[in-house]
Amino acid sequence: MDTPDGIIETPPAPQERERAERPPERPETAPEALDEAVDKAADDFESEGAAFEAFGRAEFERVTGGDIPKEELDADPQVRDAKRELEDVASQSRVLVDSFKGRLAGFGSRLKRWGRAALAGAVISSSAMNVAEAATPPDHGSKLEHVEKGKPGDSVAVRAIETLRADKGMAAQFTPEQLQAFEGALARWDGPKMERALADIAGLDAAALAKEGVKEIRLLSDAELRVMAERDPKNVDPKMKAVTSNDRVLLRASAFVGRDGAIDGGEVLHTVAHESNHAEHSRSDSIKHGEQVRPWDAVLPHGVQEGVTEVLALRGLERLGEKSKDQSYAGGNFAAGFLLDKVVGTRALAHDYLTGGTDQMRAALGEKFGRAGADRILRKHFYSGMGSTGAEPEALSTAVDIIREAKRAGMDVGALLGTAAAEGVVERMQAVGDGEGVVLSKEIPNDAVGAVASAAVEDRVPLTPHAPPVRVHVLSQGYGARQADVDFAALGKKIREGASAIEAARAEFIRANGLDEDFEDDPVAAESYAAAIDAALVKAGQITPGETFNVVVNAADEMRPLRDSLAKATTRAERDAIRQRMADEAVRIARDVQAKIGSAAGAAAR
Amino acid sequence: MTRHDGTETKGTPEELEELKDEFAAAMRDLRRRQRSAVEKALKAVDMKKSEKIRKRPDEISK
Repeated sequence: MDTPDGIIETPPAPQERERAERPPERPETAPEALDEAVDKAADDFESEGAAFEAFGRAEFERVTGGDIPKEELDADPQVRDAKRELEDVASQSRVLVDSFKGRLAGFGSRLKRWGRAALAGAVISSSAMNVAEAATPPDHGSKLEHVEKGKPGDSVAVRAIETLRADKGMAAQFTPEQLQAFEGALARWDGPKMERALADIAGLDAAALAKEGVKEIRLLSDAELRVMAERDPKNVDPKMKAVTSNDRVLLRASAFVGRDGAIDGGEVLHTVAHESNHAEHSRSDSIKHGEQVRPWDAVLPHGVQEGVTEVLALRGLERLGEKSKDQSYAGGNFAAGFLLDKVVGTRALAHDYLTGGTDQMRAALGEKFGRAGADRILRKHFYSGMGSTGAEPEALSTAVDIIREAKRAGMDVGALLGTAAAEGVVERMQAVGDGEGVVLSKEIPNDAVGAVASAAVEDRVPLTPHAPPVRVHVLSQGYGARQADVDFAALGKKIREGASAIEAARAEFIRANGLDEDFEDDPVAAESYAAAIDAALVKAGQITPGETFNVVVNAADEMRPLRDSLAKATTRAERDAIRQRMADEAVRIARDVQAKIGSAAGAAAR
Repeated sequence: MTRHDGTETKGTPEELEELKDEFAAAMRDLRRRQRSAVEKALKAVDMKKSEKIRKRPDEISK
């Protein structure tokens, strides 16, 4: 080995090298010692909870125990409120103690005590852990396969099951059959295997990935979720279905209960896969506001990230032999991810997702649509709103961009969208007109909404020669303002002013730089022109830079009659026909809104 | 966690400490709410007392 001063050093002997490369050994805690620590923690949690309740009661007695008669205090609304609040925090402390004791069940050396086979058997049979039961052949065929392949290889899934079994809140909310179904779904999850599958798809070495997947998976009872939401109302939504925070996956158990009370185990598994993908994409070495950073947040619409997360959940589960269906709502997320997958290929998609970049996707898009086309697709669309905006319509815009570029490049857009149906994807995607938009629709049988539809349609002719087209997004539920609440005159005027600002900025840009009208053929000039336009839009109070004027409309009111008839439909053909009518209605509304904006903008110009 | 002797534990002592810290933080939040509820009750009782004190001179003048 050459040193800087030219002295040649003898390389270390193999044994020495091994010693040098091996990380220093940490003192290990004996399993028994960990068990004792776990038992002590459980006792501590219990006694702290009891002390908390006793203290609250005693304090209330002390404060209200003076010479004012009890009846008088009981009648006082302030005192009653305080008492209610004390009872509420006491009940929340009980939920917390139960929940944390449940999580302790995932610790300890039980694998040693009961043995791997016993635990695996217990995972299958969902019964008490004993060797006799584990030796009995389970009757759920597919799950036996997992055991033979080495389950429980995923200690995170095992811990999730043990935590679930010890969770009193879950036991209080769900029947034994439902709990067993949850266990069955968790037993099917194998995180390390999923990680290897994704790395394989991406052409990456799983061992070299920055992440090791999720650390914890938890199914939460509604009671516990309420406690969490009260503690952290900004970040915890008690109605959420699932969330991943710093490698920990939290699932609202009640979100997986069908109308008939049955648990859709496939959906639980699929959701764990989706959330686990978020953990793979996040960077543990980069924390912002207490959360691991997701690199795509800075460069792509959030909805596109969600869509790709969903597509890779499907592709990864396929590799694991699990047939799943997309669980996303119609609105653009999944459509954008699916279309990107089709155009750039799953390998590039997975590579960039796992490494946090966009290079391979950009290169693949560039090959098909040119650099400018790739840039138009891989960008954020909504910086703020004209009307309210959100992740799903923004991703819908990415889907429109892909369709528009594909159309320009002479690709068969109908065939591209048709692959979704051919692959068994529930989302139905159709191009609008001559590729100026996209409409999505989807039936969601286990959900009260029944079916959803969303469309994004662009104006054929912009308001002024160089202004971007107006892109109208219509969603059958969720985001956007109701048409009845939109002030079309003001909106048209605002867009008209934006278009005029763009024309003025363009003329000034050409004059100041001594350019010709065809300056956009030069990529450098085009780039600085784009920056000048963004600045002009901001100056004109438009705020929204970028290529399109985006308007988002909520069509829940208009869709109601169709939803009502969907609820009464009995055959698949009937339901399909209604879903299609919802899609057609979304496009009709988009065109209607465009016409209203167009005439308002025209009036503003006069 | 797989130890060198081949036995397996499903959590590390560090993770146990993290869980204990998390529990402590959650209880701290509840304690804060408990304290404010007690303060609310105390305030209401004080109001009652001062109402009584204000009433007393009238009662005496009768």
